[in-house]
Amino acid sequence: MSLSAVRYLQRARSWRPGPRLVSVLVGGGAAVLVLYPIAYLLQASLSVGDPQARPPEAYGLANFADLPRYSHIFGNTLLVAGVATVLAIVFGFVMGWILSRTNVPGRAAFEQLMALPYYVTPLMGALAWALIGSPASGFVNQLWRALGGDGHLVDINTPWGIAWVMALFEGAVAFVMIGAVMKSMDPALEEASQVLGAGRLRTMLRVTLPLVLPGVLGAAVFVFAEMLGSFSAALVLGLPSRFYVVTTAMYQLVSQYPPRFPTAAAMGVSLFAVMFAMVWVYRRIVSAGSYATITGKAFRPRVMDVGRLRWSLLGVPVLTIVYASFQRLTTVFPRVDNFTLANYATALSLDAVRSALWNSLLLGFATASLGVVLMGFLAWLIYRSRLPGAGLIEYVLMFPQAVPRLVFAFGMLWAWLVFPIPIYGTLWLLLIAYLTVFLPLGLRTISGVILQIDRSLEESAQMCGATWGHRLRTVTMPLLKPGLVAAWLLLFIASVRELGASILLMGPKSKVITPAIVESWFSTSSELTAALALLQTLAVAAALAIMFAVARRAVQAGGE
Amino acid sequence: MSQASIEVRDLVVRYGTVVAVRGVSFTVGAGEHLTLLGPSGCGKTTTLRAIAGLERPTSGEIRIGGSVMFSSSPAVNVPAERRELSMVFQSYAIWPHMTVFENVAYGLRVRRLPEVEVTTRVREALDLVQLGDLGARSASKLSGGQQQRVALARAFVFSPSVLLFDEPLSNLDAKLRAEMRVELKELQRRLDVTSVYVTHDLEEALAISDRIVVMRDGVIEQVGTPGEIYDRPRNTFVVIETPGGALVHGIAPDRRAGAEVLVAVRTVRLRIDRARPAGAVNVWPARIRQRVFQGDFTQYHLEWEGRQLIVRSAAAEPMTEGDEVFVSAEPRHCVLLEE
Repeated sequence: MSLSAVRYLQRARSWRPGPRLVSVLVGGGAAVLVLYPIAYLLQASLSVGDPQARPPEAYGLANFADLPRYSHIFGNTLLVAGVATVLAIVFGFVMGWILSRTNVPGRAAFEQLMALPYYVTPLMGALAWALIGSPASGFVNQLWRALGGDGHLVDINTPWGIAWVMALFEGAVAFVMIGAVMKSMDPALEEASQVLGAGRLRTMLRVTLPLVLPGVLGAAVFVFAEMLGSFSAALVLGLPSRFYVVTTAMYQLVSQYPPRFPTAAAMGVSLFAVMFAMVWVYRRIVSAGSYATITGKAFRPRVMDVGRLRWSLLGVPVLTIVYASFQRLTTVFPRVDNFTLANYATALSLDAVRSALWNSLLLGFATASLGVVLMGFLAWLIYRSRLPGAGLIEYVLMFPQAVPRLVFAFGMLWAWLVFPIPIYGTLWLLLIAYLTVFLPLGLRTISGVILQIDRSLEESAQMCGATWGHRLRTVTMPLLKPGLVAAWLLLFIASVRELGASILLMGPKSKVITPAIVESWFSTSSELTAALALLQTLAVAAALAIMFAVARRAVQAGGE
Repeated sequence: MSQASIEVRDLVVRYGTVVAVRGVSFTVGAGEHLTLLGPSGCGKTTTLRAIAGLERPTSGEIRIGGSVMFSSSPAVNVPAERRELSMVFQSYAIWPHMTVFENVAYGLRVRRLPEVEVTTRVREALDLVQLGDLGARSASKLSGGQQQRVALARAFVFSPSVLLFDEPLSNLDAKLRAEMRVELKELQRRLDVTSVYVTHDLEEALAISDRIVVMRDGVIEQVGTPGEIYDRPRNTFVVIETPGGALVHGIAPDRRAGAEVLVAVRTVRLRIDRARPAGAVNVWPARIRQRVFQGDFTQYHLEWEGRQLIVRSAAAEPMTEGDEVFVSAEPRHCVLLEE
């Protein structure tokens, strides 16, 4: 045996550090990030001693036994989520059918329009609709009274109003899922039925509907689960009329004095259990209808192809906010002396706002940058390394998807309060929270790209003699670049706009912008709030413009 | 170029409960061109990838040029990048973010050759695959045939001791495939390198190999030269897997009395005549059910003892459907099968 062969032998023995070890480490890390807060949520819900005591003095099921007292809140939640789901599904089905089965002119523009909710947050939507439809000062109602009407025409501060806003701004996923099912269905299946002599109605009933049904049903279950955990619309529109759903009630219970953590935790656990069951049902439906396997979880919002068109389509709600932000007193009738820049001057002069905006951008950059590295590595481990137990790790990491962010944040609140390193009330806690709750988003985006890259592209580099690091640098990373850029942007946008987790976890010295907007809405004027919301949008847009410019150069440089 | 022999001993590759390769042993001599032939799922690609180091076998031993690359006991597994071999992938695996030149230069740059030498060698390689003027082009803007050539150049440019081919021609259309087959053969001989080639296409295997290993369900069915595989198939599987084979049931005189045996005859070796040919030993009456004119030859589907028999005949005189004919085969073209 030659000398080099001996060296090979020696190296070969120390070659793999044991995939099992890596698996355990990653699994352990994932468990800490994801399961640790959930464990504390469960613990808090079982605490029956002094509600303020940590760790709990005694355990029991009293908090759950107490929940029927709040049955009206659960009723509200079911009502709002149910109505919003029906609206979203009907809307999504009609739009999906129009866009995939008809040749209506301007379909492309419609499709662009459907992506709007990705650029306008539910919070923005809720604020805008509050300006449009609140009973006393809403624009529509001002017009109504000017036209001689009595009282108010619409009232957005009702369950119906909340459901409407939720369906519009959070229900777009229904359109995406149903549209995808319809598009994936080969029109030849319908044509075959017609050619064989079945009429249009018969074709619709016997072919189209059975094929699309699992997809629509799946979308309905999925959207319902999302709606159960919805927070911002119910907060902005429900609080004025003291209309609570589970998430807003939890928020109220935690932020009131004295806070009632165990009750809130019990509510959170109940919501979590229901949502988890819904997601499970959803998966069953999707896997049963294997001939039209379209999973909403696999949907990746495509940020990369934002055209000019979309930016010009920011829509009426945003215009309303823009309009309001330049007024002294919001009124639908423009008067010259009513216009002002004072709201912006105020917003920018407030230290609290400035620091909140700065904190948000900082957190956005940190979350996106760390997240891309962390999630890129995890995605590679799960989908490429053939690690034992990769499926289980994926399952655990996707967990936050099934938990409303507010509920998750509640678990974190408790978990990190007792953590030996004092990060509570700092931006670090928010950073950890963002990295955890956005794990599914980042993983999904990056894994989509990883799965598109044929394994042989890496293997051929290996056959050319390139080592692991060299391959990563010269082949894997350059090929992944567009996907990583997309993931970075998504994580950045999601972080800067995050509300559900931030509102519970931010401390007095670590304020971020979205909760600050909500606070402003309830404590100061709607004009100032509108200005704040726009500043946030502008800050995101500016950051994105810079990133796009950089990314385009990078992608072009890599592609040529 | 340097050559290395390959020895594969008792190779087993298992994925969970599925056993893809069950105890395969063969050797490839230095400079020999060996082909692994078989239907999809027979374990041929897995075997190739195990040699490459891309697949970790469950047990067995793989030696290249005498050195142990993989062994289950004592545990040795040399990573693919240090086995000093090269591979052409079925999907070509051309990196879309690099130019043709960068793709081909990759293996040389990994080996830290001076840039001057990289340039000359890449140019030589590109000339050899007739892509001399395409070096600056982006690899994403190539046709299938061009990608194939880039993949070839990239694989041999750094003078590996062994070249592996994983169905390299299967993504090309029929005409291009026939052309590339000839080119590939010429290249192989010119590079004078040991090669292992995987394919499910008999013609391809016959054309380019010194020796063929026929595989089924993770085991080797037969090993032989192209001539042996074609003319002396060992069993029905090899006959069926090599199109143009016909099975004939007959009675062998020197076996146990009356025992029915299975005989294989290549369809081009069968003769059909209108009259019983004089002096022939194996003659059977049959009826023409269908006649398919295919240009170089005419394919006749015969009804013969309740079975269907296909005969390819280049004879000028056409027969018509419904004709009663006589099929005959010379004894030297009949192969007694094992099963």
